[in-house]
Amino acid sequence: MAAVEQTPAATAPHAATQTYNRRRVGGLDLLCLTYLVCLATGCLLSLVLPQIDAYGQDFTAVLQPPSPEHWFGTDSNGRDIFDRTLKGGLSSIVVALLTVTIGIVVGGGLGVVGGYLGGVADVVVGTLLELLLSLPGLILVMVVITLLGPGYWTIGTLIGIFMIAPFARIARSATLAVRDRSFVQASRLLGAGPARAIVTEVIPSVLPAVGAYAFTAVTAAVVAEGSLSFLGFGLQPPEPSWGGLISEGRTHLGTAPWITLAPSMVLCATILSVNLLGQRLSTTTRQP
Amino acid sequence: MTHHNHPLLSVRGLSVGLSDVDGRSAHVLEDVDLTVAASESVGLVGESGSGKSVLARTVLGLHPRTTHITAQGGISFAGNELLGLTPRAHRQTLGTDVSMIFQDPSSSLNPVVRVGAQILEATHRRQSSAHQRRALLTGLLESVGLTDVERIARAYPSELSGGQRQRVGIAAALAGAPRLLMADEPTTALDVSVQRTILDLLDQLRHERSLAMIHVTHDLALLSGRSDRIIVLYAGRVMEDGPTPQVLTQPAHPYTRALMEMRPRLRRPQPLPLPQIRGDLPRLDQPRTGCPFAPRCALADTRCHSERPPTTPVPESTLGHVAACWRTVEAAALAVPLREPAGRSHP
Amino acid sequence: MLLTRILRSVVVLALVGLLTMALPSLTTGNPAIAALGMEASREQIAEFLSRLNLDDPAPQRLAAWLGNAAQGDLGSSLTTGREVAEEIITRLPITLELLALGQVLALAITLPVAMASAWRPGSILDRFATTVAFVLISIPVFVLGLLAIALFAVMLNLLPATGWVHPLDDPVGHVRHLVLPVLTVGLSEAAVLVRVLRADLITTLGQPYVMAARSRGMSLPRLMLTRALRPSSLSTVTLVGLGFGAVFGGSALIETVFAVPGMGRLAVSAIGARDFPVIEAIIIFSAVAVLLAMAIVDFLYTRIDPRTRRGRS
Repeated sequence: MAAVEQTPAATAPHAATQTYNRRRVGGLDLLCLTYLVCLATGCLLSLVLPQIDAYGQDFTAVLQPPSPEHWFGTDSNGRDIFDRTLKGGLSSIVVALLTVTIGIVVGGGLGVVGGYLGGVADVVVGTLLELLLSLPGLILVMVVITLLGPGYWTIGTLIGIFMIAPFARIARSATLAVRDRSFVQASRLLGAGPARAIVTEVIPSVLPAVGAYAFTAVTAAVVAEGSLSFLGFGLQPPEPSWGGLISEGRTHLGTAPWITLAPSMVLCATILSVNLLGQRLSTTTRQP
Repeated sequence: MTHHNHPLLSVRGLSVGLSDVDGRSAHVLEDVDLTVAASESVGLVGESGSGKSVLARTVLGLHPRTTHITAQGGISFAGNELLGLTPRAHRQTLGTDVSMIFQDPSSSLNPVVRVGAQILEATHRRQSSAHQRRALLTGLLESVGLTDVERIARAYPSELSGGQRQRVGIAAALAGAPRLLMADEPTTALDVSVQRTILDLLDQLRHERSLAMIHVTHDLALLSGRSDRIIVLYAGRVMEDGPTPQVLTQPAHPYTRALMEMRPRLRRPQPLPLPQIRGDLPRLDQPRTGCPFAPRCALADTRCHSERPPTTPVPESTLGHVAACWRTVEAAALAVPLREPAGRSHP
Repeated sequence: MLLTRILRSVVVLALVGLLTMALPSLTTGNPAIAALGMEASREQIAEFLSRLNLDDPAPQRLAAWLGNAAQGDLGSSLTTGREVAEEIITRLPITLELLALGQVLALAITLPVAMASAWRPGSILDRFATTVAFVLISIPVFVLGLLAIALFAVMLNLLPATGWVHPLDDPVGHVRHLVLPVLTVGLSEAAVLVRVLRADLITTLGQPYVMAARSRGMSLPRLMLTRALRPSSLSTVTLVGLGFGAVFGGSALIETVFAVPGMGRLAVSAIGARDFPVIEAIIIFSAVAVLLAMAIVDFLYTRIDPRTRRGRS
């Protein structure tokens, strides 16, 4: 409480990061969460429910506008855009999860090891990160996808590789922050080797920062997957993906804009929801 | 309260509440009285959190823009009422008549702006030629005891030493030809070796220019011989107010005594940790009754916890020495051992 | 300091080069058949392989590439037969113009909006600006481009949807075709910059030196422009710099949406066609561009903040 006089000063950076009300779970949070849960459920159901038909062509119902029968309308082959959007979401979900897993495990791991051990290990990790940062990510991923052929795993792994650097940076600085703190030092003095100290002391302290970044990483992965499939380097037709659907509809933008706009809205709503939840969560956990 | 007839600055019954964007609020100042006469020097003493910096900022009308302020009472400078004005009108009324020297010269000087340009900030409203400005700058830098004026004016703060930076900070505070100078812990961030020279410089400048000064500090003894009066602030309230010699030799408030006891003696190596007043500052975001110091006070009785002590003249002391304590008499009596050699404890 | 930096850049570039030259070996099956198609004759394949030495190990290929590049020869495209160097020279200005105008627009939006937002954090204007920025950040650039086309070209019929016209052929048409892509780049970049600059400005305005300047009677508008903006601009400068680092291929999305024949389109079509000489040049040059952009950003740091000058010279 001796900090009362500093309250005004502490307010400034505070206000910089906080634009939205926090602490209590608001209606907006619930809306975002509900949307994401429904979306994920729908995407998964598209695997099992025969009613969700992403491929069935119906040439009697071509380029139909949204209707109770076809919520998002139909494309030039009479396929239902809603069903295709749900099926296409699978690619985004799988790629996002894979990417973030790689980022946390490999990137987080490299950052913790480099930060904790320092010295040569840190230099090697640093150079590796600089290499990853100076590589043209999108181009390189497109090249390798062309050479290896597209697929959930290839796309997710490749985007994941470029997600290593930011995770490693965050983990490294978080590790440096705790490395010399007393409880880590104490566990060192008690004879714990670096591996043990990392597992029991460092990783738990680094996780919150890494976890907060995971939300940003999810949106980045969803955008990257969408960009790749938009450019034609994602899953190949007739397999749907959000970027692919958005790209397919471009020729009909004047006559049947829903082909592009409906999956675009779903894509943007997804990114917005994850961004919002991430921001809420990180500002809430920062509160004392 | 003061021997001077025409107060330059007069703060009357000032209460200040701050609240931030989260709606958290705190009563930082309560019913504070303070007067400073022309060319008078007043020491404002308290721990961090006592509200002394908020008081200085409220007088200057300089609160962070993200903080919401509620203030009651009155502040007048040279006869102009300031409280209740918009921040802009407040600043315009003061003009450059009141200026401030900040605690840490390395953070109160803009790192990306040349020192000379920052010193002249206070003069930018005045229409003056480049030649006049340069002459003013040279004069200011020389008056704060800096040599190699040309180089320093063109230097960035990071290229100067801590002492040089604080001299620059003082020059910047003097640039607007102020009548009242507020120094907020002007030497706390400096090397011990340069602290005294900076304090001497401030004294010299104050006499030369007959400036009134408010010296905000946590170090009571530092004010000895340098200020006319001392005001002790605790948890946003005035605990004691009186002429410097009386406050230092006959502290009437137990808190003032405690402040004197915890001052580290520099001559002798001190075993760590430094002596501290036990207990914490009271929470300012909760309503309080009684004397704010009561929870930490060795002399506190039940009345101290339940009733707020009024500000009363200290018995057997000079006129203008007042304290807000129910136990003033006891505290004054216990003041005697303070002047005895260290090591002997009072009964 | 400078020396270790250069050394590290060389190491990174060498690694990028090796990685690039190793790419053909990733190809499943015969790269020649993959590039030429199944109908390719035996002679064609043999000629293809010897011309590109695709089977050689990466270091050897890199050395050969560097040797040729030193003489200005970057090889020629497998699909169009045009020289890679010539292709880059005609397309680079197109992308540069698009990116430069986009960044200028982004800064033109960002500076006033961020300053107005930071002026009173939490004000209606600030809430509006940050909310718009937050929504814009959640719209991928290719979706934003399509939305712009749908609104301004299809619905309002104000501007051409796609395409590019040479400025000397038709200056007005050139500008009209540029409006939507520049708007898209500018808006999506501004969304990021506004957030960053606003936060940095608020931090700066909370600094003691800002209060010190205010105590000397400096007015807030003047203070914002002459005292707060500069120390708050480091992150913004970095982002703008990295935006230019994307000049080789990072513009693929925007150029695809608006059918602009710049470096991004070149990259996409070359990759689709497994046009290795073009791909190799693009990757290596884009790594050079990123490193160069970072170096320029670091130099600008020293101009902006004198504290970064010490120990560097």
